[in-house]
Amino acid sequence: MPSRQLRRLCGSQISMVYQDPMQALNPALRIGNQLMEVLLNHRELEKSEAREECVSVLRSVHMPDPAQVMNRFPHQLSGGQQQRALIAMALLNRPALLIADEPTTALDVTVEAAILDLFDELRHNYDTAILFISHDMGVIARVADSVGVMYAGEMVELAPVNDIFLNPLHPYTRSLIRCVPRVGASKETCSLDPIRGRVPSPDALPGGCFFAPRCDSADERCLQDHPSLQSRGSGTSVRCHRAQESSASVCRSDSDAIAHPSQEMQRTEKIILEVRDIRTYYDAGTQSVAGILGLGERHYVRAVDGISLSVKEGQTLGVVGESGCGKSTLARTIVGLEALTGGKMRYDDTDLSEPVTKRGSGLLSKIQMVFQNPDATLNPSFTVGFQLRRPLARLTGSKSEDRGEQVKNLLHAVRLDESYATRYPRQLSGGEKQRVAIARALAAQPRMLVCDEPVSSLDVSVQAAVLNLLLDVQRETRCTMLFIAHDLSVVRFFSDEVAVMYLGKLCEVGPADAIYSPPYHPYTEALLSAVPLPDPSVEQKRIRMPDEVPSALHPPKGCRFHTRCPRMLGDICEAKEPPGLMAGDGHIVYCHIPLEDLRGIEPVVNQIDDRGGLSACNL
Amino acid sequence: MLKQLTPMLSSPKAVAGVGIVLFWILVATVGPFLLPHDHLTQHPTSTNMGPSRTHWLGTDDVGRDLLARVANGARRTLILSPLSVLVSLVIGCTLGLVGGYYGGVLDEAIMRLLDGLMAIPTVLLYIIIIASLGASATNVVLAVAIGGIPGIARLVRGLTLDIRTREYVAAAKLRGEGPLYIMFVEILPNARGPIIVDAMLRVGYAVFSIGTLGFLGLGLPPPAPDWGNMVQRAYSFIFSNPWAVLWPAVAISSFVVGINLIVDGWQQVNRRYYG
Amino acid sequence: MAKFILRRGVSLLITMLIVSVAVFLLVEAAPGDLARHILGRDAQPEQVWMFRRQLGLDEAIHLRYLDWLIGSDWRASRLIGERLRRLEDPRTGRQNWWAEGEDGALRQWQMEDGTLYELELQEDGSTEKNAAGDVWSINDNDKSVFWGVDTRNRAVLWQEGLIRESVATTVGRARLEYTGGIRYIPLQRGFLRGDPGISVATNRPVGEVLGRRLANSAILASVSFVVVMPLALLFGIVAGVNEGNLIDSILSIGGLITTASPNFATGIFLILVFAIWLQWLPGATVFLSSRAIFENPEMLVLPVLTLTLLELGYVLRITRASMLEVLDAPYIRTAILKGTPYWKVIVKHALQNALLTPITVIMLHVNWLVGGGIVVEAVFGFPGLGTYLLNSANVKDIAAIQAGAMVMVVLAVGTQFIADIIYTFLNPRIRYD
Repeated sequence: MPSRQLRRLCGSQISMVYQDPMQALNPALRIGNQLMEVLLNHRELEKSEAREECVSVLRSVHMPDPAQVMNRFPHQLSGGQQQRALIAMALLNRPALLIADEPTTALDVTVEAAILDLFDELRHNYDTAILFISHDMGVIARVADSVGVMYAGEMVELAPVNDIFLNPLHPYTRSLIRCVPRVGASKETCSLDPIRGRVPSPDALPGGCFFAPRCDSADERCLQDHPSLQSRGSGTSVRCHRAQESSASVCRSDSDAIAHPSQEMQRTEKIILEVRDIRTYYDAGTQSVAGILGLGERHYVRAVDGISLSVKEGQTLGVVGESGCGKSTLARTIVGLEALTGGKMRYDDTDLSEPVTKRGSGLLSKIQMVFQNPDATLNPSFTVGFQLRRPLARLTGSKSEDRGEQVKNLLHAVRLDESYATRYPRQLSGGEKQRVAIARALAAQPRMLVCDEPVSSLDVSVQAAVLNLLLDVQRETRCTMLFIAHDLSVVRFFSDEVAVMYLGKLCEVGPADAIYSPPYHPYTEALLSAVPLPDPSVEQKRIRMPDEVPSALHPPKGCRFHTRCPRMLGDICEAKEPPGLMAGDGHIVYCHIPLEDLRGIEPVVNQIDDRGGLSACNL
Repeated sequence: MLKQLTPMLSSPKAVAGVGIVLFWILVATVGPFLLPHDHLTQHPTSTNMGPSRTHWLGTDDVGRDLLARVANGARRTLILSPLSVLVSLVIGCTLGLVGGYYGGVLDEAIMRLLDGLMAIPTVLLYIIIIASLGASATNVVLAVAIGGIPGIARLVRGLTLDIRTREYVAAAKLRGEGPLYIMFVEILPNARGPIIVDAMLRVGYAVFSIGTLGFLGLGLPPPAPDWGNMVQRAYSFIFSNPWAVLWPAVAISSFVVGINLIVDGWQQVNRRYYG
Repeated sequence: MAKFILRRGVSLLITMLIVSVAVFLLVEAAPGDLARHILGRDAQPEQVWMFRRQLGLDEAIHLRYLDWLIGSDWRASRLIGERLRRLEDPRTGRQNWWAEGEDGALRQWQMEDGTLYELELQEDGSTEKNAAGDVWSINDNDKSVFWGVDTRNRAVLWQEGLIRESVATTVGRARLEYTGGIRYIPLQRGFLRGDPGISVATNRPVGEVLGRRLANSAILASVSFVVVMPLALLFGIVAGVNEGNLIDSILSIGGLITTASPNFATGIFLILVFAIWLQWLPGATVFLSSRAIFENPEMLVLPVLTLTLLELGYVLRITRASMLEVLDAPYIRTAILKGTPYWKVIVKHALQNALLTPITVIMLHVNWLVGGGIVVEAVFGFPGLGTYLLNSANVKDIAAIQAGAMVMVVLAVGTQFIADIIYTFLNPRIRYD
């Protein structure tokens, strides 16, 4: 198509929304200028008319104070607002097609939920077709009418959303759905099925079906012939030789999913880690002129601001919260990577108040950590073997001639071949790197493992494998775990107890199933309502909060959550810190609302049964 | 290592640069042995001559063979420039690592000092240093090295600030590694890419600077030929014999251009292959 | 934004303070002794000692730094106990220091054969010489001493009855005079107050020559700057937009060569071509009068061209790289997908962002340019700050080197500060914060 013609189409008939809103907006131009350009490019309009139209579209994407926003620069808006501005930009000319490329991936759950609602609303109001690209099954389940599943560069299945989730035909689709923890699943009741192998690189595609090497039901024919996309009627197409035969039998049932009986795990009631009112502040320096001379009032980021927790031996405590809530800082403080600003920590009978540089090797070896980013977790300059040998040498006092054998054992323990010892990190996939990182943590034979978002940077299929590995490790070594994540389903699946954090404070802590059902903290309730569930058969109550998250530099007084709380009582929330309400069984809710009222809240997630009625379902 | 270098062959810039630099290395190493004339012998009968059959590039004002002097000057330049870069690398890396890793007051103090050093125009810094220490090979290396420290230290500090937040550094702390191990084993090797590129460019600038010092009369004391002081001496006779100015000037320019071509090509190739 | 600029300003001031200490120490620490240098090898140890003392070089280093920076008259005034004033002698045009007594009379003192005389300034500029009364006081060592101002602009501590030859002798290049003092503080108003001291080489205040030299250099630098910046930015943008084309290759390789050639080499090439071969332009600058630049502006062509070539390639390459990076940014894709015409994408969306990097880089590069200026001045014999510094360095003229160096640093840092302000205006992230 000639570029002139394409240019006329772009922005008027077709428009696009991107993954990273900050990057997609020009930092040097005002929002209004960037919006009006879309109109002025395609229509003969007066500037004032264009301006008015932009304001009205901004209003329709629920941008607070749209006339003001027109005069602002992108960096003056929050991430959610930037994405709203981009969506408004895409809608200005009422396009026939809107392409959204992972538009919510860079956003927090609660903001994501609001943006997804917006897409739903606009689809109806603007009569626009939306091509929504996402890796998140939950997001797809919420926004899509029909779903196309892609693998290695081609479409493998295309079907209405309900069919994809309830009756998937392609083995890849089925595996994808089985990789993520289901609504309400926990490690006691089911396990995850990872997909083996990895996605072939585009220049080395296998001969037959691209998915055959990773498929359980592949036969000779799958390895030889490349299947074509075949229509199966009612808007469904699938690219699989064996879709016909296997369609009925693969649907997952909860009962056969319990492959590992994990209940045998011993429950002791001994508290192994105890944290009392700890605080971790970062020095944010000062902006004043006197600051250059080291004077002036200093500001502190109150990343962790008075948290008390305890973890029982052999159990897993999950910590959830949105980005910036301080959950990672909590983990880093416990292992000693951040210096404690105040409060007390004890592991067993040892004081943990000292930072890592002052802890003896005995204590260091007891608590080890698994990190988030597979690309940064291993030193790129050294082999896997070297990096496993080093903690063995420093923390176990093993003889150097034994270490080769020990490295092999460690690699076996994380299900890797011993040949990996000679490889460099750049030769490993993300999942493999994370396994090596786990092996490195295990080298010290720790009694406690702190996992900071260990799977959130991994693909879903690999995520399941790493989660399973961590479960196996815990089963074999009986070590205690602190599991940090932002994904509510993963935390629910993995943890015995759960703590919910917001802006450096605890909202709620208690046994996992108690957290995910009433009485809720209003923030937990909003989170549960926001999380996109990969199951079109459940319905979530709709609770939305403003996008604006206060800064940890100047946290709100009283209850930290009051600025966004949908159930705010009044002055008391702004003035006083909330008390811890004991809801029984170690379940504590930090809120001013009386416990009886919280108990009365309806469950957020409900299963739609066959007759269309609702029944409570604790996530 | 060799395998990593092969993509460079696909960049004509890099190939040209390597060619130029190799040429000068060759001239510096074997040149003085092969050439018919000595760089110090004066030929009183043929002073300030243009290129001829006996003196391929001509002679200077006291009749010394220019080719021999350029070749001999290459040797001196090719030893002193990398040496000065090495000195600034050692000091600059240490300062940058310490400042970036420890942060706080120490970092602030180091950075302020380096800012101060950086605020002095480089040539001015050379003038001050040579004026107070006197002109000699050691002092030239020292002056050029001091001039290079702030740049390297800032680069390394920036890289350290980034790398020290990597998780493998946290993992090293969790097994009780000391700060020296973390700085030199965990951080420095992973900063090597940009440091090597920077050091390459700096070798070019060192040639440039040593030449400039020589030209200003602050470089190596005569009679030893150095490209810069050859230009300076011949500059007085530029109207009668432009050749004596031209050759050493071309030598400096071509060498620095060569190094820049290598770095340019290398960066281009890296962008293409590794994103 | 005001806060940002203020912060930058204060931190640059601190930087300059550090630099001034460093420059001062570096120049002072010169192992080649200035006294030996001036007096020559044959000077007697006593002569050297006296010479140093009379230059105030044996005062404590921190005092001398403060004298140099903010002036010595305050300190001297406290020691003398009277106000000190600097007046121009209408007959010679020289500046002289006087002590102002309570009676309003201006006095200097002089010691001859152990006797102290008092010189009182008259209306007509002449002095009246009288024997000083009993001005002596007893110091800690039970010596009878007196602080006053001598006729050579020094605060001097005289000791009663101390007789030394008062004959001026010439040693090496200097004139030594024994006036019976035991401590000397050369009087100066200090660098910050525009009086960086006396040049030992010329025995004239440094400030007199420095100003003229500075003006010459400023003309050279600003003409070059005005020529090079628009050209370099334009070429960089053109090269960036045409990435991979012939234009881009010519511009970027050309830029590489001009940046990589040392400026003295570039200057010499230009002289060879334009002054010797083609004989179009003068190859050196000759200043017969202070307005020479305006009378013979063609003298400036080659120096300006040399500086331009030096800077052109560098800024061009930075601008090109920055342009390429910006053109790769997602917001450029957004603009294209809005259906914006290509020229408008470049002008409206790419340009402002692409210019941010060159400006930050240029401001770090000003030092380089100033250094380049020194070399270019040396090549063309241009009587600017650079050649002044070089000459001073050759004779180890401490006051001149310190002053010249500090002026250069102030210039470099000052330009950085201006660039900082331009940067804040171009970058809305700082402007609206």
